[in-house]
Amino acid sequence: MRTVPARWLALRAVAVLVGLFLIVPTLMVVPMSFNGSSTLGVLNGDWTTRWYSDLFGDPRWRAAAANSLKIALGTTALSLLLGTLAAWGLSKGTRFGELIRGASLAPVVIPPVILGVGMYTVLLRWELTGSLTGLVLAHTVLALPFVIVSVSASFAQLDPVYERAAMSLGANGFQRFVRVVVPLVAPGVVAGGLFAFVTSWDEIVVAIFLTDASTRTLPVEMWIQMRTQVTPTLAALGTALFALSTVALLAMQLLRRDES
Amino acid sequence: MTTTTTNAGNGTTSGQLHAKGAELRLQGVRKSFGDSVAVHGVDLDLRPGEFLTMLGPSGSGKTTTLNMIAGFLEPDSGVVTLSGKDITHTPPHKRDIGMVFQNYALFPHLSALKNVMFPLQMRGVDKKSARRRAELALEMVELSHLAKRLPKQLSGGQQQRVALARAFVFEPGLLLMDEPLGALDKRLRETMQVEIMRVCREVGSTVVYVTHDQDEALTMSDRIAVYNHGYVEQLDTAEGLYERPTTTFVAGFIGDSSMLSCQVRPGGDVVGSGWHTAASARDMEPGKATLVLRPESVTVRADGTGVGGCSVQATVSDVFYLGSHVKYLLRTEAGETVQAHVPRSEAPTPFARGASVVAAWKPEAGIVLAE
Repeated sequence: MRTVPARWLALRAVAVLVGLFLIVPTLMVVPMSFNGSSTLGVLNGDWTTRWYSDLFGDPRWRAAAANSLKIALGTTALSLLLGTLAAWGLSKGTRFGELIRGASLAPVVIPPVILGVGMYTVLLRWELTGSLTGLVLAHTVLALPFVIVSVSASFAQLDPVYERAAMSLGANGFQRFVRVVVPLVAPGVVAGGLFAFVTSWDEIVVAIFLTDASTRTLPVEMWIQMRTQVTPTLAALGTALFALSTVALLAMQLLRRDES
Repeated sequence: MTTTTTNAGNGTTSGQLHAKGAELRLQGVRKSFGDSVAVHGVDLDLRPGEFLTMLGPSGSGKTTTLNMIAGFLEPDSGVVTLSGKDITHTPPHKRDIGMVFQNYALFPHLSALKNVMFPLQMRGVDKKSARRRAELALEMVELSHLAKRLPKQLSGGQQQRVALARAFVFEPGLLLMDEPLGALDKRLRETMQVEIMRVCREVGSTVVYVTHDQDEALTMSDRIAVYNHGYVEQLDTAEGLYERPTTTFVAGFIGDSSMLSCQVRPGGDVVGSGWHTAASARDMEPGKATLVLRPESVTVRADGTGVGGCSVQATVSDVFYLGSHVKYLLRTEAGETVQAHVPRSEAPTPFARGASVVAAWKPEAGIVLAE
């Protein structure tokens, strides 16, 4: 007997344990959402879909989901437009390009609470607190770095000759952007869009600062419900969101496979 | 959408695309990158419909010149005029110049037909007539049957044809080509040379063609501008460059040649190591010079009897049988190499390696160039 199989087994075991550590806490919400016990986190013998009908029947959840969706779509659109243009400009290697690129990543490293306070102050002055527009603007700040990074990766692989060719064929800046640049960096744009959507959809800290009773997003509504009544409806919502994110992630993986 | 008054629209009724060849003029065009000068004041003058090739080693400034004509680079000084209009600072998309790029630069997300329609749509031509004219252009490059394919589904030669069609479909007065055949194998390159010449003649545009391949330049061009170190060394027809090179660089770059160092004496006598000619460089300043000999003007003999012109004693250092002729590499007593191409009919029994011979040439066949 050689010692290699033992090492191989140990490595496998560690890998499996790490995998379980990563995924089990998330998967825990799935059985909780189908359990009859009305206290979140306690499992008994009955199984039910009651929490799902509660969830989908409650107008507060529906309103929050609608808000989240509008804000996430708005954020995706705005950050894609600004981020793709920014990545296009940065790809030209302008003098302060690297400085600007670095600065554009700031929202990722600044603590969200600080950003929340800052945005609250600014948006209060503009009278945009408690509005969907205000939250779209704030979430765009958070999503922009992800769009710039992923679209820039596509630009890094783009041969600049295509743009020159378009120029020589008579395309002005706008025509080049729409007809040549965007189609060629599309994989990065789509990936960036998914990142932007998820960033906004999951965001809670800035949203707590900027929403009021009528503009609560899903994470904010969850937070508020959690503090008042801990029912398995939350687990049902968690499971639904989990399913949605899984689909989004799979889509992203498929796109990446297409790219390579 | 721009509604430029291009000549897009001419010639469509005749069932052929036809451009009016533009006159291109470069005056003292200069470009440097940091400390290195890429192009020193270049002057060029192209007649409408002329096919000019810029030939030179890589880094000699030919592509930089082309990019200034296309508008991708702005000259530091000098003027570029197209059909009498100063375009030195006009952005590329307003120049109406067709360009074929080195690696084709076909848009990978568009079919061959859509690629060719692109420049027409940028000019606001409606989709239907853009399509009709793109089909016409593809027909001219004999590629109608592959119109629906994406670039990656086409071979190198086919992509090259699409790129050509895309460059002339809007009937530009000037076509630029940047080493368009560089990526193709030799046989295909030769086919495409003929093809490009045919299409350019049919379309009628003035053409500026960049290459580092001298055979390509000699085959295709009306005139050739030989580039070296950012200068145009000589601008002439293929024949002129071959028969009357004005610098040793041109003599060495175009065709095969032997170079023998020599002295021009007052009065015009030219004296080399082991040879001399009388009064053949009367209009030259005395001093160091180089004699350029084309291999076909050198004959090889067993001895010096009956040699009327110039001759030098040499040893055969290599013999190659090349079918139609025998190629000799001869070594003179001074250690210089002379190349000779002797037709098979004149050399029924070729000299062997190591044979002692005499290389002879007519005085008027030697080109004397000052250092």
